[in-house]
This record gives sequence, C-alpha cells and structure tokens, in this order.
Amino acid sequence: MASSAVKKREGEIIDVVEEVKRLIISKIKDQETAELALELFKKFYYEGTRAAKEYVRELIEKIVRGESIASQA
Amino acid sequence: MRVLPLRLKEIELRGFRSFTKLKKVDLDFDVIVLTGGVGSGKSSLLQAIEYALFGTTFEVKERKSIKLDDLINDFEEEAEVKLKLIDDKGNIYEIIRSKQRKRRGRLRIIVNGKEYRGKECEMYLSRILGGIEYEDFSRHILIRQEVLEALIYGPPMRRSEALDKLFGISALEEAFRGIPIGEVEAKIEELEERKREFERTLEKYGTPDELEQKIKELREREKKIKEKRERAEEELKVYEEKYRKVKEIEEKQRSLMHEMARLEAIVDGLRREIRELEAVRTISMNEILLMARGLKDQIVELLIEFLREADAKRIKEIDVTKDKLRDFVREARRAIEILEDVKNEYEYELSTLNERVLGTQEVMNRLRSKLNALLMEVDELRKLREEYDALITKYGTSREVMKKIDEMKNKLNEAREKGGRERALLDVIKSVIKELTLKGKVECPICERPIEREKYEKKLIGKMDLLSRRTIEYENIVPQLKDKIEELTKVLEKLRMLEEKIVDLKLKERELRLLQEEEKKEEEKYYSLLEAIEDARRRVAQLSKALKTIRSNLETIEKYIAFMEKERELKEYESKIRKLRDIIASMEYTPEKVHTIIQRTSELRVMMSQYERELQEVRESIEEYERVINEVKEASANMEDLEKKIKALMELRDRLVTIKNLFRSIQREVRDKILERLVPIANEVFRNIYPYKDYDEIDIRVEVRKTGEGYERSIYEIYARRSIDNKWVPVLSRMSDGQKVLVSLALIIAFSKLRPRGLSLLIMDEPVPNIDSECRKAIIRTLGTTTGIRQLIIATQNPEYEEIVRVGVRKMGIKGRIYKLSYEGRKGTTIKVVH
Repeated sequence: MASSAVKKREGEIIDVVEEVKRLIISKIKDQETAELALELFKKFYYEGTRAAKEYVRELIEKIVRGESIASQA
Repeated sequence: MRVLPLRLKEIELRGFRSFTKLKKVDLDFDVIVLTGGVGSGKSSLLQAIEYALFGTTFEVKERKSIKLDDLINDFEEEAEVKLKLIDDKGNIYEIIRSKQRKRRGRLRIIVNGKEYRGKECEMYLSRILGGIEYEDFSRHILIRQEVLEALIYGPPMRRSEALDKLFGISALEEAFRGIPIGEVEAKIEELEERKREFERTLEKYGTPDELEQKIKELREREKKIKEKRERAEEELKVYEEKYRKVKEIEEKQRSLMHEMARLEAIVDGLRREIRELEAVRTISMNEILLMARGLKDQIVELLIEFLREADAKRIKEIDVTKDKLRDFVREARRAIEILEDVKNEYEYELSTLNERVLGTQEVMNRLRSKLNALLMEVDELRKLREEYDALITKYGTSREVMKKIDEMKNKLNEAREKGGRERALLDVIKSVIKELTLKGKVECPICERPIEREKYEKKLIGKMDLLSRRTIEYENIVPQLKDKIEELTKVLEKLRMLEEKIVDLKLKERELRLLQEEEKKEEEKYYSLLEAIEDARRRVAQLSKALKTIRSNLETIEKYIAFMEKERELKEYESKIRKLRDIIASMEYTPEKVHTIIQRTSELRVMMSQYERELQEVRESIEEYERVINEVKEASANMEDLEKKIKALMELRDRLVTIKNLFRSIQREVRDKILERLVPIANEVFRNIYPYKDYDEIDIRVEVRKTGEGYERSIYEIYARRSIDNKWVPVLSRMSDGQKVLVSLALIIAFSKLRPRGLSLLIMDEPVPNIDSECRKAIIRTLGTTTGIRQLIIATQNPEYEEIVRVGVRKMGIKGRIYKLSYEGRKGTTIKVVH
C-alpha cells in the first residue's frame, strides 16, 4: 500500500467540526450568540436532535425561572 | 504521540452478541470476506470491531433500538472484545473492552506489551485512532447497506440526506430544521398572555389606591351592619329570655292543670263512693260504737266457746272508742278469720265423721251378711247333730260301733274256720264211709290207723250227721254276720262324717259369737259417730250464723268508717283544687302574650339572618378586593419581571434565528468547500476503480429546492460525463446499479481521504446486490494505490465475492482471507476459513 499518497494529500483533510466552529466564530460577533451556536452545533452533532431540543427547552425554563443563561450558552 | 495509519490485525471475542465462547479471528489481510446466512454473526463481528474502537455501536447510539447490555450474549454474563491494530512500523495496539450486565464497560489498552488503564484510556485511544471519532467511523469506514442504497437508489431528498451525513454536515441541516424556535415563541406568547392578563386585571379593578378606597367603604358598611346586628341581638336576647320565662310559666301551668285534672278525677271518684255509702249517713257515731261493743262481746264469747282464749283476751282488751274504732275493726276481721278457721275445722271434722259413718255402715253391712250366712250354716249343722244323737242312741258311739264290727269280724272268721274244718272232716268221713262201704276196711287218712267198717261205721255215720248239721249252722251264721258288719260299717262312716260336722259346728258357733260381738261394737260406734256429726253440724250452724251477724255488723261499721274518711278526703281534695285555681289565676299566662313574644323573636331572627347575609357579602367583597389588591400589586410587581423574561426570551429567539440562518450558510460553505476538494479526488478514485470507458468523469452539483414543509433544501445531483459526446448526464437516471455503486464508492473513498486518517480501512456490511462481476472486482480494486484504502472487509451473503477475492488475490498479489460464519444455537457463531 502506498503511504506516500496519504502524505501527499494531507493538506486536503477537512475536519468538518473544526471548520464549522471556525465559521461560527468568524461569522458571529456577539460572543454569547456564538457560544450558543457552538453549543447547539455540538449538541446536534454529537448527541442528536432530541438532546439539542432539550437543551433549548432548559434555556427557556431558566429564563422563565429568572435565572441567567449566560454561563449555559 | 504521532500514530501512523492503522489496520486491523486480529480480533478475539467472547460473549458478544451471537458469539458465546472465545473466538479468535485473524484479520491481518488486505481483503477479508465474511460470508454466511442471515443471523450467522457477520454483523455481530463488525459490531464487535465498532464496540472495541468506540465503546458503542450504530444500533445503540443512532437507532437506540437496543441497549449496551443487549450486546452481551443471552447465555453469558460478560462480553469481551480484544482488537489488535498494527501500524506500518509493526507496533501493535491492543484494545480490550469488556462489559458485565448492569455495570459500566471497562477499557484497557496494551501498546507493545505496556498496559494502560483508567479514565484517560479513552483519550489515549482517540489519539491512537488519529482523531477518528465514532461519527467518522460510522460514515466513512463502516459503510452500511442503507447508506449505499440511499446513494444508489434513493430519491433526491434521501440521497441528499445520505450525502450530508457522509460529509458530516447533516447535523447543520438538522440544526436548521430542529432548533425549537417555535417553543421559544410559544413561551413568549404565554408570558405575553400573562402580561395581558395582568393589564386586564389592572384595567378591571383599577389602581391599588382605588381598591383601598373601596375596601375602606366596605369596612365602614360592615361596621354599620355589625352595629345593627348587635342591637337586634340584644333585643333578641331580651325576647328569648321573655320567651324562656313564658315557656317556663306555660310548662308550670300545664303541669298544674294536669294536677288539677287529676285531683278533680279523684274528687269525682270520692263523690261516687260517698253516694254508694249514703245509707250509713243516718247512723250516729254512738250507735256505731254501741254496735261495735256488742259485736266485741259476741266475738269474745264465740272465741271463748271455741277455746280461743288468747285471741278473746286480746279483743277483750280493746277499748272501743271513736279513735280506736279502726283498730277494733282490724281485730274483728282477724277474729272473723279465726272463727272462719274454727268453722272450717268443724266442717272438715264433719266431713271426716261422715266418711267414718259411711265406713262403719259398710263394716256393719259386711258383718251382717256374714252373720246371716253363718247362721244358715249353723242351722244345717245342728240338724246333723240331731241325726248323730239318734245314731248314737241306736248304735252307740263310733268307738262302740267299731268295737262291735271287730267282734262281728272275729265271729265271722271263727264261723268260717270251724265251718271249713268241719266241712273238710265231713268230706273225709264221707269218703271213709264210702270206702268202708266198698272195702269194709280203710286206713285213716288222718292218723293212718286202720278203720274197720263194722267197728266204726255207725260212729262215723253219727259223726257225719253231726258234722252236717253243724256245717249248715255255720253256713247260715256267716251271711248274717256279713250283713251285720256291713250295716255297722256304714253307720261308722256316717258317725265319723257327722263327728266332723259337729266339730265344724262348734267352730262356726264360736265364730258366730265373735261376729255378733263385733257387730255390736260397730253399732255402738255408728251411733256415737252420728252423735258427733250432729254436734259438729250444730256448731257449724252456730258459727255460720254468728259470723254472718258479725260480718253484717262489721260491714256496717266499716262502711261508716269509709264514709267518714271519704268525706274527709273529699274536703281535702276540694281544698287543694281551690288552691291550684288560685295559683293558676295568679300566673297571668295568656296565649296572646306568648304569640306576641314568638312573633317578635321570629322577626328579630329574620333581621339577624339578613344582617349576617349582608355581612357575609361585605366580607366576601372585602376578601375579593384584598385578594385582587394583592393580585394587582403582584401583577404590578411582576410586570417588570415578566417584561424582562419576555425580553430575554425574545433575545434567545433572535439568537436562535440568527444561529439557524447561520447554520444554513455554514452548511452551504462547508459543503462547497468539501465538494471543491472532494470532486477531483473522487474522479481520481473513480478512474482507478471504474472498469468501463463509457464515462470518464463525475461531478456533484447542488440545487436549492423548496420542500413541502416550506423551507429550502439543498439537493445533490451526481453527474457523469459521457465519453462519446462529453455530455454531463445524471448518474441516477443513466447509469446501471453496478455503475452507481462504483460512483458511490468513489465518493465514499474520496471523502474518507479528506478526513483524519487514523484508520486506512473500509468495511462494507452487505454491499448492494445486483452488480456484475466487473463491479465486484472494482470494489476489490479500491485497495489500489491511489485510493488510500489499505484494508477492506466485506460482510456478505453473496458467494460471488469469494470468487472475486480469489481472483484479486491471484492477479493483484494482495493478501486475502474468506471466512464462513454459521450460527449453532447455544454454541453461538462458529467461524471456518474458506480461503
């Protein structure tokens, strides 16, 4: 097997997660929104839609209880 | 730590899914084909690889159809998978994962003989795998049938989703569609509604100051009603007291009326009784006393006469006066009872005497009948005695008769003896004579002396005549003696019989005398009893008469006493009735008075209830206003908080909208970037593995379409350039299934080359069927130098792959191994090397 081919194309490697994170940070100036976007992406990517929705519901409940969501996001 | 791309070397598994006992499978080959029927354990082996590397499987993590404990074989308590990896330098990495039921899984890693344990093992493993995460593995390394199916046969939407997953950007699509902005908006609406409700409350009830004023007014009203109620309560108390008193009087009066009615009934009874005793009204007390004294003397006399001296003495001692008249009457009654007892005794005696008289009469009758019978018997016997006396006179006593009989009998015997002897002698003489006559001489038959005729003939004849006479005499005497004896024997019998009768007569005569004496005695007794009866009768009559007189006089005295007492009682009861009337009249009780009190009491109670109701209404209004005022105050206080929350939720919503849109733009950018890099690599792989000349290049284009749910969706279309006219045609509609598989593989392999390459491995679980042998060979060719795939594992039911591997091994010089798997119940999956 030709390992040289692997080395040759190392520059072409795409890490989607890192790419998405980079784009989120670069596109959102508001830090809280960016953090929220990153958290949401991680939830959707690693834990699935249900967990992500649950996360948003927790945020809603926190706001309703009068708690801060800054640390959460 | 820098780890070179790895490939699988060996797997050992025990108690995992269909594997029960320890199985070791050599994986150190370029291409491995796992064949076997449905349920033989091919997928279980692939899952074991997945579990060893990441501690989970697609079924557990994505489908959630099973839990980690379900990975343990049903007949085992623990599952263990040991996976060995090897890099180009020959370093061996051994990953050991085990799991017991209801316990957390354990991980150990052995690198070149050095063992690693503990929490940091997972991070260490991630580094070994060059950053490949489970998501990468499940997208680019373990290619499941449904992924290939979606890419080859799927409609545009499904194909696009599959590609998004392959590219790792499906999470962005899901994020775009799945961020629950609607729930944030619903919550905002809910809080807005609460805010509106507060506003309505404020609008409806006014300000807290206005509500306070209303409460003040209501409290003033409450105070006035309370004052009215207190006044009514006071008056009611007075009337209730009046009512209580009047009720007491009513009760007392009712009781007195009852008593008066009772007394009047008694008075009526007394008057009736007095009327019945009216006869004694004309008698004076002196006359009664005289009568009583006379009665006393009479009783005393009677008691003495009948031998009741003690009782007579007691009565005699009573001084018959007006005061002691009742005592005398009581004692007289006792005396009457005593005399009655005496009379009863006499009557009893009389009845006893009568019985005795009857008994005596009976005895006398019995004696008399016996006497009569005895007299008759005695008369008969006396006649027999006369007959006896006559016989005695004629024959003598029985002894004398018996003596005579004995003498007769002696004579008879003598006559018979002598007659017989002389008859015999006569007979002898006769015979001697006879013989002498004949013979003249014969021997005496008696003395045997010779008798000569001449000498003795005359003598014998004279003797014979004498004897003849004497014999006749004897013969005449014997019947006479016999008759005489017979007569005397009969007389003797008669005498003996009569003698017995005479003895009997004597006894009877004695008995007769005794009976006559007894009869005499009974007769005397009878007359004595008759006298006693007469005496008793006389006394009974005397007592009856006296008692009748005494009773009559005593009754007159008692009636007189009763009359006097009833007169006295009547006066007493009449006096009581008069007193009761006076008391009732003094009570001044009238039904009208009671009615007035009851009416006023009732009015006051109605007023009280009315005041209570009014008070209740006022209190409820106060409570309502107080509640509302609190609510209004709370609403005012909460408004600010609510507005803050709504603001925060709106901010969250805005952020989420921003993020949602951002995710869509990022998705586009990442996809473009991936496609930009992917397409040249995919073409390179495509040209390497595609065995035909009809298409020479592939491309992926993205179109934006509106979905039925109302949002935009990027749809991928894969195109291939036709060699003959250089025209780009859609792969889906123009290419065969086998060609599409190769295009899909080219894309998968190309993308895996864009990802971190810790594992240069491709695992295909049931590649699609219906592809020709060229395509199957092309799959084997993915192991070519330009694809970067260094190890290929295919799990399939299709036996044609076996042949392809054999050819591939022979022609391409690669190392290959074919395993055949089968499931054998409790034994689990067994593995055989086919090639």
